[in-house]
Formats: sequence, C-alpha cells, structure tokens
Amino acid sequence: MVLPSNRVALVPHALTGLRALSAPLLWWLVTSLQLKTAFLCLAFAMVSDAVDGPLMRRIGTPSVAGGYFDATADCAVIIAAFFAFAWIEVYSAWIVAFIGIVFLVFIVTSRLTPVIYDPVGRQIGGLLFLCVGATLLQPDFFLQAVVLSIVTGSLAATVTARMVHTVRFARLVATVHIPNQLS
Amino acid sequence: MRSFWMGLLIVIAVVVVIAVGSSVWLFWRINQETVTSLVVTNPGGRVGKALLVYQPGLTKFPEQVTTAFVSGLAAAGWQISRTTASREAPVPDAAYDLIIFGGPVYFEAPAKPLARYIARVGDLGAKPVVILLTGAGDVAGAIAATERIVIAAKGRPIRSLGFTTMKPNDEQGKYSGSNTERALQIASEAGQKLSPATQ
Repeated sequence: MVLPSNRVALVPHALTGLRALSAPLLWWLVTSLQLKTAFLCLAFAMVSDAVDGPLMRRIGTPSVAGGYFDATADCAVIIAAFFAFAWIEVYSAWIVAFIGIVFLVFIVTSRLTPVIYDPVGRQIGGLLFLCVGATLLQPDFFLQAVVLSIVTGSLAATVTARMVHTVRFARLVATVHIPNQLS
Repeated sequence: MRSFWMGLLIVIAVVVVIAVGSSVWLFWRINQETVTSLVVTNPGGRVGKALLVYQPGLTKFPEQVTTAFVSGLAAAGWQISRTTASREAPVPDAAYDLIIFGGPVYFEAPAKPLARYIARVGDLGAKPVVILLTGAGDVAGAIAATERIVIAAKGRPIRSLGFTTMKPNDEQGKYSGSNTERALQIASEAGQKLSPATQ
C-alpha cells in the first residue's frame, strides 16, 4: 500500500507521538521490575528520537511546534524513567524535579531567543537516555552512583549553557534590534 | 552542523570529567572503613548475644535492611551489639553466640572493608554466622563469595539473605508494599525466626 504524500509527511510526527506514549509504559515496566522489557521500550524511544528529525527534514515540513513536540516527548520518556527509578528507590526524587526544572528553563529560554535548536541540550537528552539504559542493563550500586553524578553534572551544564546563550542573545538585542520568534 | 559537533564535544568533555572524577571518588569511598562505636540493642535480651558487623553503603538501603533484621532479632529476645567493619570493630569472642555480617554488593562482590574485617579476624571459632547482603541486582554471586570467606575464617554460615532494589524480593507475593518495603519485612521476620536455629 502506498500512502499519499500528505500522510507520509505525518510519519515523523507519529513516531514522536509513539515515543511520548511509551513514557507511561516505561514507568510501569520499571516499577514492576520488568527491566529487560523496559530496556526494549527505551530502545524504541531512542531509535524514534534518532530517526524522527532526519525523517522530518526529508519528507515532512520542519516547524517550531514540531521541535517542541520532539523535545517534550524526549522529556516525557526521561522523566518517566527517573520517576520510576525514584519510585523503586534507586534514585532520589530530587533528580526528577531537577530534570523538570531544566526542561522548563529550555522552554522559557527558547521563547526568548530566535532559535530553539540547542546543540548541548540535544546531546544531553541522548546522554540521559544512555544513563537510563545503563541503569536498566547493569543494576549495581556503584554504577548507579556514577550515573547519578553524570546526570546531575550534565543537567547543570545544559542549564548553564542555556543561560549563557540567552544572556548573550539579550545583550545582542540590546545593541542591535533582532526580532525574536514571538514578534 | 558545526554547532552539532561543538555541542557533542562539550558534552563528551563534561561527561568524561564527571565520570572519571566521580568513579575515582566513589571507588575510594566504598573501600574506606567507617568507624562507629558499638551500639547495643535490647541489652536485657536473654536468648543470646549477637555481634553484627556491617558496612554502610552509598545508599540508605543496606542500613535499612540491617536495622530491620536487628529489630527482628531484638523482638525474638536477642541482645545485639552492632558496629561497622573497621580496625576499631571488636573481634567476635566467646561472649557472642551469633555473628552477623552485612553490607552492600558492588560488582557482584561483598564490600571490601567487610571482607578485610573477616580476613583480619581470621578465626571465627566455628560460630554460627548469618550473611545479610544488599544489592541493586543479582546478589547470589556475592553471597557465595562471602560464604567462602566466612568458611575460610572458620565460621559456620547458617543463613544467607540477599535483598535487592531492582529484582523482586518477594516472588511469592507474601508481603505488601514496595519491593524495598517487602525486603524490610522479610529481613525483620528472618531476624525473629532465627533464634531456634542457632540454639
């Protein structure tokens, strides 16, 4: 069966949507200690994250709303995983709150600047997926402590990068008028 | 595309620094002995005297399991002297009827300070020993390794208990609550049921 071109263009959005829907499933699998199945669910989310952007550029129409949808789906999966780890007392609940705050900072600062693409934040998202994968595949107190350090440090790094980027842009706006995406 | 590679480089640099730094510090931390004073629980206990030597972990789970087991022993009438594995910890002498070794599992092995303590004591005088290990995943290998260390030190393992945070502790569904809450209930009950077996 050949899909009409306007339906083909929806495939990347469907992938992103399925990734968002995998978040509650991942939470349930981790909290019921089905770690191998949870890893398969995470693997699907990682693959869909890797292919939806290139697919969108190839067959769809990239948009600001699509960019936010993609970032929100990533955040949903990562928060669901760490919330589940906090639920089974592997990591503390504060790490979930920290991830939520970093995502809020991303949303707010991306509304203040003309581009939402965040090269550091994008890599940190991938890194957090890997940290979730490592926790699922290799349950060990030592590894979990190292993962917690990496997650905390990388989240602090991405918040700092966003702040620096926003402050630089604000200074530039103060000297030269550059329309932001709201205007 | 240039910003993509720049972002990737920054992230790799940050991750390498954090991963190496935290691994070195944590490795040093888990191999460090923790010195604490001897705390006696249920000093009026008449069933027998138990010495519990344990290694606190990077998380609160090993301590919680140890405390639950101690509460079970105390409820059964034991007097328990509890301390951490270090050069300051007392040697289990004739005054004790039961020895309990507890601690976390790292890399499928018992915590190094606990293993060093048992090796340092050398002769446990054929006393009954309970092994109480906690891990994130599988603890069977660490339990087997600890039993070998105890036997090499002339101890007599009578019960080995392993509890985890990421594998079901209660596969029969006998207890209630979260996986860690079930672990605490099982540990407490194991402490209560221990007395007849060692007498």
